[in-house]
Amino acid sequence: MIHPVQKLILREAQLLDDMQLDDWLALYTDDATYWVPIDETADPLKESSIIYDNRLRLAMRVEQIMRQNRVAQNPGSNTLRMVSNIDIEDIDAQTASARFALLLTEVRSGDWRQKGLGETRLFPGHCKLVCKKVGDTWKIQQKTIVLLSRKQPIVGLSFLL
Amino acid sequence: MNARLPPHTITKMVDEQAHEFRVATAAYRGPEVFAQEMEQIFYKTWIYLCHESEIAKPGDFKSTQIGTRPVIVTRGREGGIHALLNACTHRGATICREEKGNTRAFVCPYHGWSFRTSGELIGIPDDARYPEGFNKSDKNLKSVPRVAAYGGLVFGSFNPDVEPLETFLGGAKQHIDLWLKRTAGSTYRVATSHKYGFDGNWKFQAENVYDGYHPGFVHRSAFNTVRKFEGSFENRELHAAVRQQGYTRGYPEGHGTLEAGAPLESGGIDPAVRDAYNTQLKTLYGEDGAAEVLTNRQFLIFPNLTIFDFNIRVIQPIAHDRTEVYSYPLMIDGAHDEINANRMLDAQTRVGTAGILSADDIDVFAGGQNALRTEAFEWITLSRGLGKEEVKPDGERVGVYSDEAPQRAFWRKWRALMAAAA
Repeated sequence: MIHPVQKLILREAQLLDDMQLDDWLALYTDDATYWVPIDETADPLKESSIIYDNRLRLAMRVEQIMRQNRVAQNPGSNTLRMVSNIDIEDIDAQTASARFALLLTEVRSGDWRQKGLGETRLFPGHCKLVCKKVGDTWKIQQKTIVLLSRKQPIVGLSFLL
Repeated sequence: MNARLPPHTITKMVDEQAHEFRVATAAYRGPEVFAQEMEQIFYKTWIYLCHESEIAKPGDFKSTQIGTRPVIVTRGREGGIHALLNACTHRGATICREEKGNTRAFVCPYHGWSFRTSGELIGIPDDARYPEGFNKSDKNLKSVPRVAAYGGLVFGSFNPDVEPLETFLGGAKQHIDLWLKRTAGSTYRVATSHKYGFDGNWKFQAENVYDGYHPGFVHRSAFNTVRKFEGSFENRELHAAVRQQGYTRGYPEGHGTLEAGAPLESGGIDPAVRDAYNTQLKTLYGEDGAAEVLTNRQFLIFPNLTIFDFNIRVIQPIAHDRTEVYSYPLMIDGAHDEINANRMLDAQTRVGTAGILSADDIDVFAGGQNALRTEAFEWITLSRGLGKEEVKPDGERVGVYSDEAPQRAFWRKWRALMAAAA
């Protein structure tokens, strides 16, 4: 039987690729944290991260992209998330942790001949989740994305990883 | 070295008349102008190397660049700061491959020559095979000839005859002093930098730092979002596309500022913690002094160092159409954890790699390089506020928030250095 958290991981990837970001946000608990570290061993309140968001800041990102016509997503990004090496561990009946590998490919739409729009960009990374069962539904309480390129300059992170 | 563009060609690129201030698109384009910028600006004047807190202990080092030259900044055993060319004096191998760290010595990976963090040659493996009279004393790592610091900001220059650092800082010095007062008697410590790149000229980012005209357009999506999420940020004037309060300033030394005329802080700090900090500022600097210290300001030290209230941003030219930006959040030593966590998240969420603001700026910069690559488009205009600005006796020019006074100061200095005798 497929673990419900595996379905959650695949559903998250699909919603992000389909730009259904409001539905994506609903996969997260109210007390969720979303962390894209530069140093994954550091305290995100004491050292820099690429992203360290709570639910409010995640909701702001969704708002800016979906309804506020963000310049750097105009024209928007097309993304494909390949998710593999999924390993899920049950902590208790209501909690599970998961690790998986992500290869995210991003291509901007629009006039590909223009600078900033023509490249195909790759974002490989290790992902970790802590998931909670809320009622009958599994949700994400913590997500960590450790990008391989986290210590190097990144061009234009205006979409959600 | 590339052939130099003659002074009259450079001088014509910045066209200042009473009714218009124009810059040739050619100034943003091509390896020739870029090579000359390296020679005439980046290797002639003071360039920011690091913050003192990044190399606090003896043996600490950090890899950086002056222009396109690779440089290691170190803290020597004796406590002094050194800036060394990252090249082994034996066969030119790169000697330090790390971004930062602490070491007793740099050992070349190629043939094992070793150097102290001061650059001094320690040892040559099997040195008996060198001829009699072989000069070891000129085999120390090449030093950047001038290193100096002001307010914790460490600068270096490849020009041994460069003017004193404080003369170079000129009108920007008072802004650095005000910025230092934000620590309320303490010192800054920089956190790890956010890093992002864009396929565009470095001057697009330099001109953008104190551009009070663009936020209502490029950052409208961010401001609208902030407005919808009440309390996430405070004290922003979010309803006017072009802000009416605040000032821009340009200085004869090429530096410039943008001041918002109001503090700019994120919400979410315990009011008691914020009050304690504000009270401390008032005790130290008085009511008016504290208000001045808390006024949001962002400024550029010519050519490529940006100072914000909560971060330092270094604009690193890579090629004429490629730039990297390193954005270091500034923590205050000894401040309440909540204040520092808040400064961290502010710098990150706004102007970090995935910031709600900076990703939109760099998209415009790449678009700018795209548009300006055509020689059929000859001039851009930087004329907002021209002739309407207040000119002070020392050459400082003060405009309103959306004026292009600081950009004009940048280009006047650019022209002077680029056209100067080599």
